[in-house]
Amino acid sequence: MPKLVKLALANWRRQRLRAFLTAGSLSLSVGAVVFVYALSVAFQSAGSAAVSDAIGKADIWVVPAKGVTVDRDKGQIEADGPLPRGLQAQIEALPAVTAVTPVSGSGAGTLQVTSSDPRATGTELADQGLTVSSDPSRVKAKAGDVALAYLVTVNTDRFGVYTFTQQFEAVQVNEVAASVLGVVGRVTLALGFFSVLSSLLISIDERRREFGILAAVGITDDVLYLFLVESALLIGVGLLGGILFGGLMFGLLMPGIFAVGTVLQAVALVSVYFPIMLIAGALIPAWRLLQRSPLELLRSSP
Amino acid sequence: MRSLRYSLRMVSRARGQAVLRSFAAAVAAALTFFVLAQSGTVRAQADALSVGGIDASLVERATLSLALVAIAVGALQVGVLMTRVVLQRMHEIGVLKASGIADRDIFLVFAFEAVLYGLVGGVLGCLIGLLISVFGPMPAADEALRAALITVGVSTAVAAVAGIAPARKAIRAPAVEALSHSW
Repeated sequence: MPKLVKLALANWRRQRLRAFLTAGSLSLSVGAVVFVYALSVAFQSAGSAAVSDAIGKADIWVVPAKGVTVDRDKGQIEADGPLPRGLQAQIEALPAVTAVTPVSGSGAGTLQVTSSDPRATGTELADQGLTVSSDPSRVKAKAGDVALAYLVTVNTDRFGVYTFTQQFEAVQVNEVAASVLGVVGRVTLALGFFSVLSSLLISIDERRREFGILAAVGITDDVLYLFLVESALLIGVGLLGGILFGGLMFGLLMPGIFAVGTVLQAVALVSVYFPIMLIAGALIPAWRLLQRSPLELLRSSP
Repeated sequence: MRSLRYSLRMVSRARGQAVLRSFAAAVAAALTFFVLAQSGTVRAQADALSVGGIDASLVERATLSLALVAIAVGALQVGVLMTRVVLQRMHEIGVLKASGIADRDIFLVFAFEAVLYGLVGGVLGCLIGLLISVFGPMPAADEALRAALITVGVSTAVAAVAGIAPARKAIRAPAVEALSHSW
């Protein structure tokens, strides 16, 4: 294994400029994504505390028809409009409802409702003209709606178990991802991906004859390993540089909300791309090249 | 001037490849153009996203600096592709050197090619950016013009910087070695 690493390093030294440029562009693009992800994660944790505060231990959470937003300065939920007068008394009169508590400190107010049978109460609320949903990411008030009611239940209809607070956080994170900031970050990653891919393809194409010679003396598998190690080293250096760059950018631009844990979460999300790049940029093209006969590879003039 | 003409002829010999090579720069430029031309949208979103202790202008600046990072990635890609171009034309470089062309002129040929990719990429990027803008609010004409000028300028300048190292590589090898370069 150390021999392979030594060989790989020697190969990159042959094209020092290209290796440097490739690792550099990967670093920049990974840095951009780390930055955007870290920002989303920071927003997420700011919103999460506010949401669980506002819901308390309620089974149903009633908010104004215009919805609510997370005021990140104060770290609390702000209602975007008034609730209709008398709604609290109206809900209290419903059969299964045990308690209705207005939440103070949230602008025009939201209501925490506890009920012995939340689903039945939800149906009753819908009859009263409220839009009832257990999915904060999809519900939108229609014109003429009195208020929104969220069933604060654990949702298991997707791939995992999501609590209501987690779902609400996801809405907040989507705000960042859907903004220009998020789009810029993702396109930059795509650019870096494209750049690494084309660089690896070039360096394979330039070495057809070399691969031909190695294949002719029967060391096909080792060639594959060698190229894999070579690419892994390059991509690894690029990712590491990107993590440092992204962390630095986050720390310098947003010192107020910088936290190592936040950056680490973003890094975990970005690391997923490592194996994808390796397989698409190194393993598949090298393997395809080695499927040809050594004679053909040797004869090829680029 | 002679070297610029030569460079143009080299590029037009493989026009399709040239467009492909400026593609990375074009995507990056499109992004920058979009962020610059839609500064109103960016500002509104920054206001909505601002966090405790962070004011909106910081989020705005972060968006802009990310767009500049993207343009740098595009330029580095031009640099990577130029290392390939230089290797491909090693034999040609040998012929030029052997017939007594000055190193400076050969350097200019390759540096100009990189600048050309940056320029074409920048212009293509502005067109792509305008195309994207159809889905959102159309930018005002003077704002779009300003954004286009900045985008093309930055894209060209950064590509020129990225092209220096490969172009220097082109003139470093002795003529005999360059001539005998099988590939």
